[in-house]
Amino acid sequence: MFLITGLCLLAGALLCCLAAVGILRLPDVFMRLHAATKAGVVGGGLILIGVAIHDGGALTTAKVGVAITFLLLTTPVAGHFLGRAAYVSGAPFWQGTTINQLESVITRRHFGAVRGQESSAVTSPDAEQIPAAAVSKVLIALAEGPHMDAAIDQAIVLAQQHDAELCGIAIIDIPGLSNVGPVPIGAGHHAAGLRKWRIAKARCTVADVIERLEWKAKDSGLRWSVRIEEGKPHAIVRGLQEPGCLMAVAPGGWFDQGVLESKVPVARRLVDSGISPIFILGTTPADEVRRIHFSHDGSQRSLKTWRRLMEANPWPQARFVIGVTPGCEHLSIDHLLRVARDQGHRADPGSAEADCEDYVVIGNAGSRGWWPEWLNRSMPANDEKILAIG
Amino acid sequence: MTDGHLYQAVLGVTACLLLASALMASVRIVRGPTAADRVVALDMLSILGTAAAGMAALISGAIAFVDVALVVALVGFLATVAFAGFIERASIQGDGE
Repeated sequence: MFLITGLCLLAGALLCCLAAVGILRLPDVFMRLHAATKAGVVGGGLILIGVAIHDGGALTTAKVGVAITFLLLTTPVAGHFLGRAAYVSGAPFWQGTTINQLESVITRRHFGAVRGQESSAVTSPDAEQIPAAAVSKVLIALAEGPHMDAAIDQAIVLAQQHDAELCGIAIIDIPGLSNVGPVPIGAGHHAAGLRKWRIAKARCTVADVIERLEWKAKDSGLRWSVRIEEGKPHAIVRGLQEPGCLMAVAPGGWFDQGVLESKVPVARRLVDSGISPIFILGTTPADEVRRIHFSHDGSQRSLKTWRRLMEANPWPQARFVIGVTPGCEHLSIDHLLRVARDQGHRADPGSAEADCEDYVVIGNAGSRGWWPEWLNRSMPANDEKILAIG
Repeated sequence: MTDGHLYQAVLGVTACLLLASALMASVRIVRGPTAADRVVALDMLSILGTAAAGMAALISGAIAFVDVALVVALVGFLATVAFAGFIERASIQGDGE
């Protein structure tokens, strides 16, 4: 009896020790987690079994049994939870890690360049002063919605104007589609069925949208390409941003591809996660836009939006009016006017608030508490009038 | 050497190994570098605490220590889950800025 107890204790302690060495020596948090959860549980469990064998009483054995069952049940849960938290918080990988299957599935935060080599989907959204790159690529987000076809037409015209490549990016919002709300006990099977059905339907719709783009793109004679991605829309779109790339969306269609029938302001939501600027195409025929009110708040981001707008200008007939956000009246807008002159556009200083007939471009959606106050007042929720957001 | 002496020696070695493990985990808690690393080491410490409570039951002969082991395992699990949730939420909120 002593022999068995002693063996259990020694084996358990050695495994615990091994786990601790792993925690100390392994190179990244995920490997450390792997060492701690497996070896730790078996080590601790063996020591408890040793106790039960030594004592031999029914009560002790039962208690030890409960404790071990508990360890076996909880440690994997805690381990997975912790691994997910580590991934989301951007804990750096060991440099030998090559496969990341969660890339573009779960958004990962950029952890200060500890190793300097980790790849991350997050690019710095507020990169000051992007180089004045001409528009070389028009990236249009494909999502089924009322304005999709008009937006494709407009994107094609835009790409032709700049002799740019047209790139359609079709995204299926898997996390959004998988969210079926709280599932009552016993309904797991039906919930899984519903998720599957939704995703399948979204894939069908996407195929249809892509086909429409293909037809039109082929006729136009442009260089064009289409990408299909499944995962979290923000992360995917963010990963595709590059200088010279103009991001365009059609309002009224989110990447659930119409399956959830959700009314989401696409551009506002994408801007919210740091992608800027975003042009909204398809609401109004391009040559009907006569006057565009640009809401400027003096920030770098707003300046960047203005430059992009001047370089790309999808609305050639329009003249621009620059309004300075209330509270920033002292700002000089000479710089903006100069940029406009260089690009050959008409721009004038104007009042802070836009008229009802004006179309609106928001320089920096992040300023003044997210959304210009006057915009909510004068045109409540009328996203049809907003042409671009920075 | 009798069985009793051998047994005492095994108890001593086991205790020393557990102590060494706890020290190594503590080093990881101090060194980090991420919060997740520290929580992993803390989780390891709570498992070591469970094992140590089992050892205490053997050495003192008081079976009540097995209950302590059970409680330590429970609290350790809750602590790990809470910390993990905290890390995840903090990083999501930080991302929105």
